Amino acid sequence: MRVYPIKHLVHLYSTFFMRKVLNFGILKNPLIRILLLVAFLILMTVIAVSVFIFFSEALQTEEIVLFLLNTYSSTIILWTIVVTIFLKVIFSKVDGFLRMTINFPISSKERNFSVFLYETLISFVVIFLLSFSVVLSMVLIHQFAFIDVLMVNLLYVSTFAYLSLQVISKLVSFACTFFKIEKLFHIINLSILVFIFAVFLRKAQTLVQELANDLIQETNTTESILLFFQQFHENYGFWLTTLLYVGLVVIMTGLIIVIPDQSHMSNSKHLLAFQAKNVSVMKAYVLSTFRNMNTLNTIALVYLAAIILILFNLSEYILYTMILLSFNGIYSFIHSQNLRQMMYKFDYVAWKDYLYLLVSQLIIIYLVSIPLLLSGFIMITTVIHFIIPYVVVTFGVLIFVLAGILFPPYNDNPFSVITSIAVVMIPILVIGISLTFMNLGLWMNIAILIFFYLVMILFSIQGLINLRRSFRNEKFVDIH
Amino acid sequence: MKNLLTYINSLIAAIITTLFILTASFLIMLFSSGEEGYRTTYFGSLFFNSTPTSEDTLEMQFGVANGIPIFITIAILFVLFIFILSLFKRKSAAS
Repeated sequence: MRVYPIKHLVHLYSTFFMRKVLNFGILKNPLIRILLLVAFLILMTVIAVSVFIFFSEALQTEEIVLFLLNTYSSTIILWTIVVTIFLKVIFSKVDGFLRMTINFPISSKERNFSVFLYETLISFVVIFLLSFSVVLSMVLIHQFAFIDVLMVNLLYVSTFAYLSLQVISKLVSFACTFFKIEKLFHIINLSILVFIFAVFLRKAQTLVQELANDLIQETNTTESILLFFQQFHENYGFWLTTLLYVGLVVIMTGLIIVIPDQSHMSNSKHLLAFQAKNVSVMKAYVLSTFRNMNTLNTIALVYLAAIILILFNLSEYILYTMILLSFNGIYSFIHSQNLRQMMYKFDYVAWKDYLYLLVSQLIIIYLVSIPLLLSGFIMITTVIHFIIPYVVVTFGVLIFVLAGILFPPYNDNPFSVITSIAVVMIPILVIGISLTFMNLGLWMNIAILIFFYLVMILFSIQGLINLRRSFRNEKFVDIH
Repeated sequence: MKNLLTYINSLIAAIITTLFILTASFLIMLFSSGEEGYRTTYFGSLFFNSTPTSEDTLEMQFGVANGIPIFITIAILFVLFIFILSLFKRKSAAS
C-alpha cells in the first residue's frame, strides 16, 4: 500500500467537501455561512462557559474529579459508538460517490484505507467537539494535574473503542465476501453495531450507579469492561498504559489495513421489488424509493433493531425503530430526481412535487410499521408508546425531506448528508431547549411548533423552485 | 413575492437568533452560582425559582417573566436582518 495515492485521495475528498458541501445549496450565500459559523461558535462558548462554571464548584476533591471523568468516559464510549453507527449509515451510501475513483491507478486497499482515514477524521472532530468543554474546564481549574487521567479517559478510550468497531466492521465485510453475501454487508454490520451499542448502554447505566455508590460510600469496588484502561492506569501507571494503548492501536490499524474489504464495490443500487401494473406519479415516487437498496437495507435494520429490543426486554419501544426509516427521507429528493427531471419538461408544480415526496415517504414508513404495530398490540402496554413514534416519524420526515432538498446528496455524497443534518438540527435543538425553559404552556408550544413546521414546508417548496431554476440555468449554459 | 420572502426569512432568522440568545442566557444563569430563590436573566425576561420543600427535595419553577425584552430583541434583529439581506441583494444585483 502506497502513502501518496492515499494522501491524494484524502485531498480529493477534502476538495470535494469544500466545493460540493461548504459551497453548495444555501451555504453558497456568504451571509448564511457567517451566521452559521457565529451560531456554532456561540453554542460552543455557552456550553464551555456553563460546564466551566458547574465544574469550578463541583470539582473540589480528587474523588469527585475521578468519578466525573470515569462517568464521562463511559458516555464518550457510547458517543463513539453512536458516531461510528452514524458514519457507517452515511458511508454505506458512498458507492456512487466512490465511483469517481474507479479509473484511478489505485488499489481497492488504498481506496478503502483513505475512506477509513476520512471516517476517522470526522469521528474525531465530533468527539473533540463533544469533549472540548470538559477538557477545557479541567485544564482551567486544575491546570495539568489530571492530564494523564484525561488522556486515558478520553483519548485512549475513544480511540480504542473506535478502532475496535472498525476492526469488527472489517471482519464482517471479510465474512460477507467469503460467504458471497456482499449485498447484505451494510445491514449485517449496522445490526452488529446497534447490538454492541445496546449492550454497552446497559453496562454504562449500571456502571454510573456503581460509581456513584463508590463515591458515596468511599469505596473502590466498581469493575467494568468500560473502565478497562482506567483500571490498568490505576494499577500499572501512565507509561505502561500508554505502551499498551500504542501496541493495541498499531495491531488494530494493521488489521484494518490487512483485512480485505469489498464493501464499497457494489454496482447495483436497485432491486426490482414490487411491480405496479397501473403506474401513477405517486406510485412512481413510492417505488423509486422503495426499490433502492439503501431503503431496503434500512427496512431490514428497522426490523433487526426491533428484534434486539425484544431480546433485551425493551419491547415497549419497538415502534421507535421506525425513526431510522424517517432518516431515509434525506435521500427522497435524490431517489426521485429522474422523475422530477421528466416532469420539468411538462407541467412541473413545486408544491405537488413536495406533496409527492412527503406522502411517498410516509406511505413507506407506515407500511413498514404494520408488522411492528401488530406485534405492538401484544407487547406494548402504554398507549403513549403507540402515539409518540408516529408523531415523531411524521414530523421527522418533514425535517429530513427539507434537509435533502437544501443539500441534495448527489452521487451519494455523504458529506452533504452530514452538513444538512448539522445545519437543520442545530436550530431545531435550540428551539426545543428554549421552548422547554420558556415554559409557555402546551397550546402555545404546539402553536409555535406548527408555525416552525409551516416555515419548513415553505422553505422546502422554495428550495424545490430554486433547484428547478438552477437546473434550467445549467441546461442553458450547457446548450450554449 | 420576493420581498415577502425576504421578510419571512428575516423574521425566522430573528426568532431563531433570539432563541439562541435566550438559551445562552438561561444556561449561563442556571450554571452560575447564585443564592437560592428567584433569579432572572436577559433583562428580566426569563426567571428561575428554586425553593426547598423539605430537607432532600427542591422545587424548581422556570419560564417567561416578562415578554417585552424578547419581542424587542426579535424586532431589532428583524430590522437588522432585513437591512443586511437588502444590502446583500443590492450588491449581488450590481455584480
